[in-house]
Amino acid sequence: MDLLKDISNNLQRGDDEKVAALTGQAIAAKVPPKQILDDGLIAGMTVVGMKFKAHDIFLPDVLLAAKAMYAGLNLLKPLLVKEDIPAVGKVVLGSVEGDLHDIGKNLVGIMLKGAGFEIIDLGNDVPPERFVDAAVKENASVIGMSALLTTTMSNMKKVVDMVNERGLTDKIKTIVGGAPVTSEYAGEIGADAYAFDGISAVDRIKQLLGLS
Amino acid sequence: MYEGEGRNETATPLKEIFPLADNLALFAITVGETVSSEIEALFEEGDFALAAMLDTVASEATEIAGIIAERRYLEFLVSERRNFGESTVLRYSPGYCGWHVSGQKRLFEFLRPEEVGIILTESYLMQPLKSISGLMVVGRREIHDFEMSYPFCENCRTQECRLRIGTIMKR
Ligand code: B12
Ligand code: SF4
Repeated sequence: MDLLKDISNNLQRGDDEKVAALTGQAIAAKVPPKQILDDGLIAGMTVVGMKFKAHDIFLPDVLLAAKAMYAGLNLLKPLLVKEDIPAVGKVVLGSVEGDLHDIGKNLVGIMLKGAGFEIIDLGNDVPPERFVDAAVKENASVIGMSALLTTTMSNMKKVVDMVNERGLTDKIKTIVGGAPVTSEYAGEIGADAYAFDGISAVDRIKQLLGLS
Repeated sequence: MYEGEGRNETATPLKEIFPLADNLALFAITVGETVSSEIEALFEEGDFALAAMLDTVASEATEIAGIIAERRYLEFLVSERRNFGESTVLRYSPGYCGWHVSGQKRLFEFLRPEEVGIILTESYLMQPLKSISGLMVVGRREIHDFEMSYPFCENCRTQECRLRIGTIMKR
């Protein structure tokens, strides 16, 4: 449908006003909300992600597109909720205990939302049990943890261990990231995945959940 | 002071460099909390691109504040006739190249940067976030030149020491 293509194209250009207007039109034209989301907004964000990975565009371009995506998403949200359409998956996200830095985690959250995930953002300085309790309460399938320093990074292991101890490994997958974190470290502490940035976090989480 | 909480790597570049220095100074520098609150506010308003760019600028500004402090220190030494401008100055920070980030504890006990509003948390994170700490080493350029053959260099993503040594050799 042309309207959805228009949404996708304008999203890629980062034109939030147009995306909002077109999404409004699509809703008025009775296009199913799920279709607007998948074939308009997420389709556009997927192209943006691919271009970023290919180094055709830069981070600010991606973030402008994300802002445009949110403009559309905000209009769709009430309809999606009303029709009980579930998100692609639910991710609990936070910076680990002792860590007061947000930016990296925020960027990852933005990309995940852009891919259709629902994000439960716990903020920073999040104690291990809050991660696990929130994931259980919200019925989330992934816990994502961020750390800035090697000293706070060690708190990631506590969360992974707690997921194991409570016998939740089948239900909840763990993914870690942040400047000092490596895939080796993720392996060492028994986390299910590591991602270098927001775009690869989307890929890794989709893999974890068998969505790709 | 350098040994800190005893968590450093056994052999590190700085351990070999600082005994050769003419002058040493500890430092802690911040660009303050305001910029971090501004970044957070931009994120909340949905201005992600602006927020991310301001974050990069603020990080860069912190580094530049470090460079300015280096210059001031050298100027001070020259004015005190303790140095005649032939030597050069370079910063080293806990958390880099084998100097454990917990090294900041002793540094903070000595320097008391709380007076300029920088606090160190139990996890050795400084607040405000856009802050740096460490040691300024003044001496002949050559003392900063070392081989990157330490065990931890194998996992180093940046090899930033090359760049740093490069800049002082050109000066
Ligand atoms: C810029 C920078 C700074 C800036 C700003 C810091 C900040 N974050 O605001 C300044 C100059 C102030 C600074 C200071 C220091 N820094 Co610094 N800094 C960096 C640098 C170069 C980039 C970090 C950054 O902000 N990147 C941009 C943001 C957006 O990226 P990010 O947070 O990493 O998030 C991305 C990914 O990591 C990932 N991600 C993040 N979270 C998550 C979560 C999940 C689930 C997933 C999947 C992915 C993911 O996706 C994000 C988006 O792409 C890194 C090295 C590096 N190349 O990463 C060192 C680094 C973080 N710094 C380091 C150190 C040591 C320090 C200091 C302690 C040095 C000192 N003694 O002064 C101080 C500490 C500051 C403090 N407040 O306590 C070390 C930490 C290592 C360690 N030993 O713990 C690093 C890793 C450098 C190194 N040695 O290799 N730093
Ligand atoms: S290679 Fe990396 S770890 Fe080794 S001294 Fe250079 S910057 Fe430091």
